[in-house]
Amino acid sequence: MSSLSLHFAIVAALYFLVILAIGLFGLRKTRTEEDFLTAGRSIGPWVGGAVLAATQISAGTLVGTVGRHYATGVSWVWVWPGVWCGWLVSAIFVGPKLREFGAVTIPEYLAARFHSETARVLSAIFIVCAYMILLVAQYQACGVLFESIFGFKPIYAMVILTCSTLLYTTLGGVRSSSYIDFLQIMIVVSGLLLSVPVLAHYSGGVRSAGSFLATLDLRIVGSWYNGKQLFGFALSFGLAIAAAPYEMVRFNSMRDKATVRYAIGVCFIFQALIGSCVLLMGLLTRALFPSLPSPDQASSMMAMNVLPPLVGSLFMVALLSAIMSNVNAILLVASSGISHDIYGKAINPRASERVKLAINRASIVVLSFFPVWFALNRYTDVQSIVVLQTRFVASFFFVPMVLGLNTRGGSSRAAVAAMLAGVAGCLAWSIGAAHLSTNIDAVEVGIVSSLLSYLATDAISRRSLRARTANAQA
Amino acid sequence: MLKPDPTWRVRRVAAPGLMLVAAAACLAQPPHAYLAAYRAQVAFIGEQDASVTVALEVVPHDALGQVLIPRFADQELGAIEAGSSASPAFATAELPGALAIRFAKDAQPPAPLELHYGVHSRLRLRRVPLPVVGVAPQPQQHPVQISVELPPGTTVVGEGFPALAWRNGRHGEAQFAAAPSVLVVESELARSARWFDGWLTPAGLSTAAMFGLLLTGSAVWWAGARSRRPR
Repeated sequence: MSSLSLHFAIVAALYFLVILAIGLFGLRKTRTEEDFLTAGRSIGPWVGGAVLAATQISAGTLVGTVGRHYATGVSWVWVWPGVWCGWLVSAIFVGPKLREFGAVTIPEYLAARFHSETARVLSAIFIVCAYMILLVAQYQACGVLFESIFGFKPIYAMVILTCSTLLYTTLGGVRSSSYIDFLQIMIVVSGLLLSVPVLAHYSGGVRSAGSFLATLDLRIVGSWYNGKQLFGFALSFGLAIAAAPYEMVRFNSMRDKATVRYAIGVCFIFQALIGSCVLLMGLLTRALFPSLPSPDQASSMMAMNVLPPLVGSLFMVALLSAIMSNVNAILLVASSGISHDIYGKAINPRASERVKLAINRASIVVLSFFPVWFALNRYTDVQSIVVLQTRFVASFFFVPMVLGLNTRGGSSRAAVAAMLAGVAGCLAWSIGAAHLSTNIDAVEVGIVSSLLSYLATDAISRRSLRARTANAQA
Repeated sequence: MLKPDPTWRVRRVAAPGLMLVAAAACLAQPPHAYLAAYRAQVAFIGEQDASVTVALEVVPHDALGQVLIPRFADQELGAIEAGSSASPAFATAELPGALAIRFAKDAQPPAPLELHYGVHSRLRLRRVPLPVVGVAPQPQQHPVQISVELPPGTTVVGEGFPALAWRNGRHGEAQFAAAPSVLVVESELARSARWFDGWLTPAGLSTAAMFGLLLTGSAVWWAGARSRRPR
């Protein structure tokens, strides 16, 4: 075992002992399904902000985004304004209103808002499918990390990840995962802040690294992507975040509306720090290791070969923890869709709290093993999987969520039509127009089809309602 | 009586179909060029000079492209010698951040290509540039070997880049999954080295800062939890 592997094993063992203790604390405090899914609505602004950041900062950011900056350079940074706009939309138009609405899950909100059980079941099924894609990205990143540190086969890494995440997800639900997220984001931020000066020192300073990168490929320090491509990526991330079910579930665990707004502000601070560090990390790692076998290895190579062993190990543990936190959030949101919305409302509305909680925990176990096969096949890099998933989530949820929360109109048919048209448009464009160099992103097609379907179906529904009312009066 | 599953026909055709598509996609992919071997030997000579010898091999042989050696402000690179048995025709170009070595199209470099050059620093030499190629090693391989030798009477201090295993404080070596563009070694005269020198390097300072942050964070958390507890 190398020096770093040994350090990593010790640091990881200590870290997992701490999260086990937090999981047991969560278990002691959890009595009902609502307690499990919303932590008794007791989370404050600082922990809440850290939780929001931790939920979003996952393998997608620490492996995928670092890898994307490593491979394509500075221009990917323009995706961050899209992310922040998404958070702004969420802070103003979505988060506080959703918290006020009081629904436990997003399908429950959609069902209540549009008086539609179809919307509930459809959104619950879509959540399970879409978040399985994101789970593939997390598992793949975990495989890359363990392969780099221990030379493990990725399958072992994925089984370890699944078992350890299952432990604290099934034990304490949202309460324990919120406190673990807080701890994890603190380690991530301090690891990132410390790694950048060390990287800059080794590469001879940022200016020296910049001129070397320009020699490698001028696009790394200039524009790898054109404006339209970047707009498409930023839009995907922004709209997906504004309506992301697993972020919104976190709002439900916060005390009140004001706490949600405050927490989003805190989340901005964390994200600004993380975004800047991730950009520099990707670029400086490219200057130090110009030709890695895969961009996804940039984070692990940096942690293993650039950072001192203890800091590197802690960073890797935080990275692993970020993956676990994301897997945890995904499993919670997907399993709540199954237990609360599909089983508890559509299949067996008389189910007791105990049965629903048992179904919830059982579906977490089943869903956690499902994406392993896809992750082992490594169809593409981590960031591309994340982008794919955000496109579908934005196309499906954005229009019914944002319009539903901020306008009075909207029928159940309109909501269902918007969801189906959005995802169909996005899927059709992704498959059919992939070879065309139109620079139109699939999310743009998805959102436009979703919006048009919503407005058109709503107009038709109103018209037929008016006609029926007139007939009845006549 | 059990009803036949209506989707069985679709599944029967779809599964082998998907496998055929996947197999065709694998066969259609062009073979990737990869870095098969990279051995760098760096010998520090005095406080300001070092000599670098690198042998590298790319498969297929003609995928080498140009070789880049990063340049740092306070350093000068000595004359580049390429090839041990055969001497290939090559030209060097001074670019803003690196020195590029380009081989003539009709004179492919020998495999493995051997490069030799000296580095002179106006200040104390800590950072030694290493040649890099635009071809990555294969996944799960560690074809990059680096060995370093410090002058007699000196010893390594703290962690450098990349992380090497040191014998006697003078000989360091390690294997990596990718070739680094630079080697950073902090050294001191063995007789004047102090026990805390390692903590004054960037690696030592960042480790100390990490511990400091964790301790401060825990203290703040503990104080906050204590103040919220009902009296």
